[in-house]
Amino acid sequence: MISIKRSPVPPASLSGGGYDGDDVRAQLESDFLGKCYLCERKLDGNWQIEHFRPQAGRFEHLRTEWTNLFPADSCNQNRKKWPAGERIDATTAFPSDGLLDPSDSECDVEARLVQRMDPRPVSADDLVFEFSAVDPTDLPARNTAIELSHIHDSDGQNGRTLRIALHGRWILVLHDLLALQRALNRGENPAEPVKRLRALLRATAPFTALLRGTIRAEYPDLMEHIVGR
Amino acid sequence: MATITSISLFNHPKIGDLAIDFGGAKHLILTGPNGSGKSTALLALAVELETSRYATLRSRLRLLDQAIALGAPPGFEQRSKDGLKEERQDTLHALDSPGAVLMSGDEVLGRSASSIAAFLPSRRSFAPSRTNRPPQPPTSSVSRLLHAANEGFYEWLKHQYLQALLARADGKDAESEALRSWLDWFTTLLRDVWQLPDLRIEFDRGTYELRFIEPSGSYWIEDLADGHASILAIVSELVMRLDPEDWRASPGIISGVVLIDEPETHLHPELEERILPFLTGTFPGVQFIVATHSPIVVASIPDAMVFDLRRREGTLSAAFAGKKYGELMMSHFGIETDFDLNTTRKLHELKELALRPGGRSDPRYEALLKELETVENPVVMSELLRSLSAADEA
Repeated sequence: MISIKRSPVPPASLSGGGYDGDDVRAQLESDFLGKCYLCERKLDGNWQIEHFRPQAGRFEHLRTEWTNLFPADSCNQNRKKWPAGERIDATTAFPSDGLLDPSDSECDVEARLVQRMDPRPVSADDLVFEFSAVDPTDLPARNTAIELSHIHDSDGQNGRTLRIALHGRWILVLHDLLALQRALNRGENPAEPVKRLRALLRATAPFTALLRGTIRAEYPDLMEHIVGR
Repeated sequence: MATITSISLFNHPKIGDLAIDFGGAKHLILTGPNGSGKSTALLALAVELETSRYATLRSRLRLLDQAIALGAPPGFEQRSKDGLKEERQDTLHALDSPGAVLMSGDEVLGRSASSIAAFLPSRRSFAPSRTNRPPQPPTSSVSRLLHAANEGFYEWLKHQYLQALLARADGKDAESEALRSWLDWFTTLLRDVWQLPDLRIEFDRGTYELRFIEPSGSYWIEDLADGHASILAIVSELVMRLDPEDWRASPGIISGVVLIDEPETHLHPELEERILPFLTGTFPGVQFIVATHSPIVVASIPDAMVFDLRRREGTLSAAFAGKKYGELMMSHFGIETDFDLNTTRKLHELKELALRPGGRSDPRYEALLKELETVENPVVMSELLRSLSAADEA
């Protein structure tokens, strides 16, 4: 999950009572850089408008609230269910201590969350993720980490296709990390692999946070070359 | 005939409870490992369809009895008494036949639309029977349906060729033309699905057999390749349950449900890709419910619900568009990597050595890393990266 800049002006159709107008979809797609806000996969034609705070129940008044609308792929059916507190068995997609809002300009998601994975998964099912709060007392960050773990580790079709895509992407990144390291070893100009890695890690590319987090943790020297000292 | 939109099994001895929603898709594809209950589910569905067919026939029989006794009640004004009696006879016949092929009532009941319900088990056989006498064509639509298998198909097809020839000899040009055009259409169908663009089929007067002719040579029905025979088994199974009049007019009006266990049986991957598109394209009014082990079949049609019986989870086949078969093998069929099993084992071994304290100084580690050097896998690549970076520091 990465922070994004939400357009300050709500799309016009929201004042008409619906939340899924074409202008809303277009603005969400553009504000969120064409990615699902949860898993950072590229949005395909079937993506959903997700209510960050669920539209059923106590957040009903936020149904057409612009800042409550997020773009999500099939992750929207796979969000973590939290105890709702109303009834013993009631659950909600929004925990009482809150979640990090990646579109909140006050909230730097990447600074508050550890997001990384084991760099040597044999297969997609072999992936091990670490999502955690940088500050353990930061409850919204902790909840968001739990939600991201839930989505990335899920056994369902969504979890499996997500992990397969991520595994494939990580191979591409490793490819260029190897090229970069080889260039450095030979004393050659590493501009080409650096350029490709920047493209793979830029905010509009899939899985930015996890890929950046993993390289930062595993290959800090190479990361310095990529971001430029 | 109504389209099936969901299937529920309750307390089935093998499968337990099961609920499958088609999610708006037209067809259903069942997947799951051996023993997960694919064939069992198809069979349960076949039994259910047969039971409802039986009920439909019973109520139709009651209606016919009334119609015959009372003259022509509403809905029967156009029917002659003989016609009604004949239909009653056919209906009785259908009811009496144990294990009759699955047919929805519609065609038996003489409605305008042809309708089929068929269950094709995975053991695909096409064993043409041969005789030395002219074949007996099925005498009515019902008896044609009761040829449970396609064993009469070859004789029937031969008969069509013969009839076309005889009609022409008799100067009945229109009849000959109608037969020919159906046979041409059928040959085109086979050319298309068998991918034999130059195939011709001719009636050989010397041997009284059909000759399959290709530029490379000609052959007889029993020389068909297994894959081609396998497809013909499915097609002929459906053809034999239909009224050729309807076929000649328009195959599109045929409706019904067809259950096929492992349509990919004997098929080369190229044909695997084509079998469901071919069947759904040729019979656009038919709903297909199939069980398969093939990622190729799963991804081959866009309007199916793909339901995995092990995970009890459905995915619309449209979601598989743009995915590589290797990826489907992993995401849907549970294959671990898209490498061969041996390489996967070695990758695990390399990873285990890398993680074990001192494992990297094991001679096996170097040997494996060297052997797997070109394998594009994160274990190999991150270990190579590690050794390159160590060399850099040194």
